[in-house]
Amino acid sequence: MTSMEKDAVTLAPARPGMPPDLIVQVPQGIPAKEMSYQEAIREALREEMLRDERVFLIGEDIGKYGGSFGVTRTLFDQFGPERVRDTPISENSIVGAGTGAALAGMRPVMEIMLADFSGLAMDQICTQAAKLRFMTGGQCKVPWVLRMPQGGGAGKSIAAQHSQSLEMWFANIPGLKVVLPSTPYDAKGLLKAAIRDDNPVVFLEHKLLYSFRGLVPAQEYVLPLGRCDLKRQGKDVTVVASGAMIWHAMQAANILAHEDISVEVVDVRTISPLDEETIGASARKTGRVVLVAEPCRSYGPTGEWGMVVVEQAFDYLKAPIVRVTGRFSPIPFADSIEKGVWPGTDDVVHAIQRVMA
Amino acid sequence: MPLEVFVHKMTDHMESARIIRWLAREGEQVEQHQAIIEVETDKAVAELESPASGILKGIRPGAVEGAQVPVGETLAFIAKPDEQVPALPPLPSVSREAAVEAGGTQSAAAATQAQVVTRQTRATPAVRRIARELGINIDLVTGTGPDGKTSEEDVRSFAAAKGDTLAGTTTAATSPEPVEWMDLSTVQRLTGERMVQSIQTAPQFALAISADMTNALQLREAMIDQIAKETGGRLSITALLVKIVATALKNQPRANASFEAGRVKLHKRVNVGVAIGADAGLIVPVIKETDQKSLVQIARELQVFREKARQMRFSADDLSGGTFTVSNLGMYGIDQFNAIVNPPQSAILAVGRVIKTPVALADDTVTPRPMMNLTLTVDHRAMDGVQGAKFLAEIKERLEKPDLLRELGKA
Repeated sequence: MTSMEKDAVTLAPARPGMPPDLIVQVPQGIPAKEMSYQEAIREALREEMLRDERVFLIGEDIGKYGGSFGVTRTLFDQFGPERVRDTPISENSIVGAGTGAALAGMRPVMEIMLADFSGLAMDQICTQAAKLRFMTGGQCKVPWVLRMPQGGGAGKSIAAQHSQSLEMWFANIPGLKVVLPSTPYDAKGLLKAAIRDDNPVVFLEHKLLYSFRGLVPAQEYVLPLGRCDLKRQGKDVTVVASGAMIWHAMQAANILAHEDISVEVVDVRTISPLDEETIGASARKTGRVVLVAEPCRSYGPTGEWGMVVVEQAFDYLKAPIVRVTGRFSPIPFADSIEKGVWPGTDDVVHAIQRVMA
Repeated sequence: MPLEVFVHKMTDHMESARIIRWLAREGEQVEQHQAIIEVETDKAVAELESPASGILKGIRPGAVEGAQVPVGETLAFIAKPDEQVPALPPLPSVSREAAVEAGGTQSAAAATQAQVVTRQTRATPAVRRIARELGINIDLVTGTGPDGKTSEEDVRSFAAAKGDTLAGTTTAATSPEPVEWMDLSTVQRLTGERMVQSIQTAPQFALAISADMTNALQLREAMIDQIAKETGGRLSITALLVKIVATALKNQPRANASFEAGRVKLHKRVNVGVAIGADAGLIVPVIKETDQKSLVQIARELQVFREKARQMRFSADDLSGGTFTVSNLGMYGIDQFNAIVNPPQSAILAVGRVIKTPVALADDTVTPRPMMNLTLTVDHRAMDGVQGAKFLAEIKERLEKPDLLRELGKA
């Protein structure tokens, strides 16, 4: 037994009932802390606010109250009302104020309570912030981050106006970067990168994942934007997924390992710009591809990823590409119907079995 | 009354053509002689003209780009705007192999009938890539998967079986050499098939003669300005030779013949084909009624053919009806060569370059003369050595004798 193994942190499952080693991103021997996705985001905010005094937070109820999902808890007490600013219920003014502050040299991190409400601020996000650097010939930049919880899951029962997964709204706008982390490790490293990026970054947090736990290095680290992450290596089939769907993909891979099917999982943790090379390379390696994304199928991420596979790996495909997506439906309130809308682990397992047949 | 649009038989061997693209759309107004379909025949790319002015209607199901369509099958109609046209049944698809094989056999029609293939190969892109890498035509592999789907294993065992029958390929399989596989163009493939057929079926022998080109070159110099004025090009030795060959063919009917079905068919018309090498392969456009044409006309036609060869865009007519072939490699510095008879023609003339050669004259003095080697390859079933010799001798005489050459200049 080496000293490294003695020092190893005992792994807890990300959620009760999950295998503890489902996603491990910190190698043994590296000092690490176990924390939730929500805590990882808070730690990223705290570290960046300490590092750079231009970084400030702005949003509804993010101060004393600590945010609707508790992400900014304790930050008001630590940094005060100047740097953790509460606003009225007006998404348009939050992003407008943030965009103005960013133009003036600050690095605002805005919170909109739910991505579903971003429609109210769409002009500021897509027509102003995304375009200003281009419209001014590079004389201005808008280095802001817009944090928004999105998505849902069976049993949440928050209905059609509070549950959507909207990454494609923003991924279709040149000038915006769109990030969708799936783990505490990714959430922290990517948020720090987003804050340091000179372009507007839409940072989407999955509501279901806030309570997911995982190891995060004790030391500071920053992850690159615009790259996919290989969450699991395999040789028979590639599963391309993002956000909460990564967990279904990883569970499906575990289940199918018993059937001697070796699954590779590519996490599209930056939705835009899309890392086409990693998707293409994995598809060429395995020749079989399953795409898993939470937004509804029509004009959703899987259509884009699938086309990347066709462009980069057509001659290597051994089976038609199969996709697993949310239904083209407003999210129902009733728990029993809501279950039918979200893709789950079983759907991913069946899709992999289909491409392997 | 609607008129039918169909692919004509453009060459003797042609049984089908592949549609490259429709140049007019369903419901479009077209004029008579307007090109409406571009097709690839066994020898070239050709345009099909509309038989009349009217509306293109009722394009047949299956008559799509890439489809191999049999000669004579109705593909669409040209009709008046208010005229109804009958709905055509879907076109039977002919596989490329069936078309090629049919082109190369005597009982071509029967072969095509027997080899109409309707099966479409089902295989994943990965399996298709493996087939490509192994140099295998995937359409020839029998699929053993569900619904006849072709698997990687099917392709590999097909390749292995093929490798067993070819000496040397097994070693190639175990230690792969850095090689590149090239697909043949239709023209190259057909040329190969026809040459194999020629060598395997026709007993061939070659006769060689060498002609003193002193006077011919003088005539060429004398005419060069006139020809340049009328054709915009330089009078080539090929043009001169084609004209002389045509006259000789008229006088030596056995050379202007073909061996078909065990008999010799004497052609009343003299249609000299001229072999032209192009990037896509060897092509033999035909100068119709060559003996009736002046040197200027022949020079002009040759010029047009060379232009067309650059893009392999010949009309059906350009390539059909040849009764004899001239192949000149002199411009590539070849002294002399033997050509293979272009079946069913009875002979082919291979022409080398003009080269200054020491020649002993009647008075035993030796002097350099511009000489040209002519080699006649003959199908012995159609012609014997004496007939071949007489034909070659006449060509030589017409190239050398000043009075005969003058006749040429006048014509």
